[in-house]
Amino acid sequence: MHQDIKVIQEKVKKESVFIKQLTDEIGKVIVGQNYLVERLLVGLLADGHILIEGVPGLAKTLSVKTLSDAIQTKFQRIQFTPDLLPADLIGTLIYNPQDGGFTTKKGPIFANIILADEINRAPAKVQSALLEAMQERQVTIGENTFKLDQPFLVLATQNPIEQEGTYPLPEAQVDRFMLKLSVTYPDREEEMEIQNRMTIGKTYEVNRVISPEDILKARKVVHEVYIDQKVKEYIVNIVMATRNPDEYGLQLKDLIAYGASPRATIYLNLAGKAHAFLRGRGYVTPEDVKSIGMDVLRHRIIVTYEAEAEEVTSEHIVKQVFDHIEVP
Amino acid sequence: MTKKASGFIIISQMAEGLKRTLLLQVWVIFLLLAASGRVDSEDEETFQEAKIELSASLEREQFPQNETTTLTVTLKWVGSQDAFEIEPLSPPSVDNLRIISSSSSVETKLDEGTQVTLRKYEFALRGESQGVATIGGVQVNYRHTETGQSSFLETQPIQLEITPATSQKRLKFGLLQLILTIAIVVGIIVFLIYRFAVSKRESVAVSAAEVPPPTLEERLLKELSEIESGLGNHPSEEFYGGVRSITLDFLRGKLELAGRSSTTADVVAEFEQKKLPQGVSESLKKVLETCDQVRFGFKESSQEEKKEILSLLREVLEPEG
Repeated sequence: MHQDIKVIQEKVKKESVFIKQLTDEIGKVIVGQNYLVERLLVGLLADGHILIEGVPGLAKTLSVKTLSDAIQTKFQRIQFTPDLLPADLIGTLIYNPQDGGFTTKKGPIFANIILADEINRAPAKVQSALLEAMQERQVTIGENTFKLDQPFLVLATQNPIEQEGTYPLPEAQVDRFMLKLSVTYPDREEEMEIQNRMTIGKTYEVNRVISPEDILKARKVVHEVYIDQKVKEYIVNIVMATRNPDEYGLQLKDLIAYGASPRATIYLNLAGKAHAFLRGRGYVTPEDVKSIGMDVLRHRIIVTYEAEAEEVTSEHIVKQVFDHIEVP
Repeated sequence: MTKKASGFIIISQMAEGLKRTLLLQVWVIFLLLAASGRVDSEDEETFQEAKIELSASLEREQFPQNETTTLTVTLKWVGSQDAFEIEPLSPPSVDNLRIISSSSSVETKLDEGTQVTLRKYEFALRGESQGVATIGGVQVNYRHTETGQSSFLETQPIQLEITPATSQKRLKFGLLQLILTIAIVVGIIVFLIYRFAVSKRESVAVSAAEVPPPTLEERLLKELSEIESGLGNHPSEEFYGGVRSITLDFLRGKLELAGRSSTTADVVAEFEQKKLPQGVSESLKKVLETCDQVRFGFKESSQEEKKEILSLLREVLEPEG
């Protein structure tokens, strides 16, 4: 192995020790949902925000809450409602009648892990305020700009079945989420285990096993994870195939209105590195890219009306792309 | 009282000597004016003498019967195009000739500061039969625009000789014969080569039918032996690239697994679905994972490890028994 990659490999082994402890702690509360927990860790390590979509009762909120409990960080849950105002999120200036001045009241966004519950229930101006903070990692209240503490991770949830009274996120804003997860029902065994655990009146305590500094150190190592030119070309082929499917022999041109943005390329690379880190590897394989590909791309491909009429979703398209592009 | 009258009174009151001097001056002026009048009359004479030069020329005076020659009739005069009105030119009378086409052109140019106009008429002529041919005189009627004076000019008749037609057709025919001959010879050669190739292919097919084609395993084992023979020479990445390619060819050809878009993890998952024998799936898994470690993570691989991988793959590829 190359000397540099050998060093990275050793660093990965050293810095990824906490992963096992963290997943064990989360596993005390959450039954199954390994996919969800692993993707939350990918977002945490790759410094990317996550949008979680799933029907109610799939432990979306509980998973996020448990993750934040296992990390010594400040956690805030914000329930998005139609009457929420941007100031409720980022804070405001409060007039002090005693001295005639204004004092800054920071909002709940000043935390390390934010759970934006049911993000599509708040109006566009509130969504914009959150998404701006996600992108810039800073908040301006009055004339003062405040940097948000690191790590800063937004985990937003939305319910796909209740569309009444919702404000769907615009495509440009959805693009800012590194991953969009689609949470599904647990299997039979998991369902049985949930029943056993949650019906005996016992509460499970989660120990704080890692600090924010551990996460920041791990993020540094994630950035150092080696990604070979062959894998980079594989990523570019996938992204380009969503834009020019004809050139890759895919009959998808009429189904795709807009292909994946350059953010997709960046996030496939970063999320692939984080995935390799979680596997204790100092290098990325095509498997890492393919594994996280669906979560990175499903919200970045806009389908045509024709596709909608034929009930072809962006997920069908991403699957076809991955099933077609040759692995190096 | 008019000015003339007052002038006369003044003159009558002058001294006699002064009178004579004045009268002399008047005469000089009168003579000068008269001289000036003469110059004008000379100009008129020049206009009257304005003329057109007419010439006729032949491209060649002797030409073959099957070719053409050109008769050019040129009118040249000093002045602008509008100085003369030229009546439409009648084609010349020709004997033993045929006028094929005609054209005309006008050109005005400056020749040493003088404006000169050239009007040309061209007649393409073809000989009727071998011998002497004649072109009659060409008459040009014109009118001077300014004076309105009309006149005409005529060229002298021209004689020319028409020689026998050239043997171009015969040459063309000879060339055609040559091309046809070459084409026939080339065709025969191509046919012979084709026959030879077909007979050879048939003989190869016959011999191939006698020898059965190598099986997939045999072909892959041969490729594996080639990789093995160059074990020390190839870089690890190249070695494992070859090993991976052989492994995937085997999986695709024999077990219908491992599509081109499958990762190692996908292939390993397929082993489980297909329920391959435990030993085979473990060997293939190890081979593919080692290939990935070297190809994507630059894992160092010793000669012993390479030999072990080759051995694992050979066991899978070698037919039972």
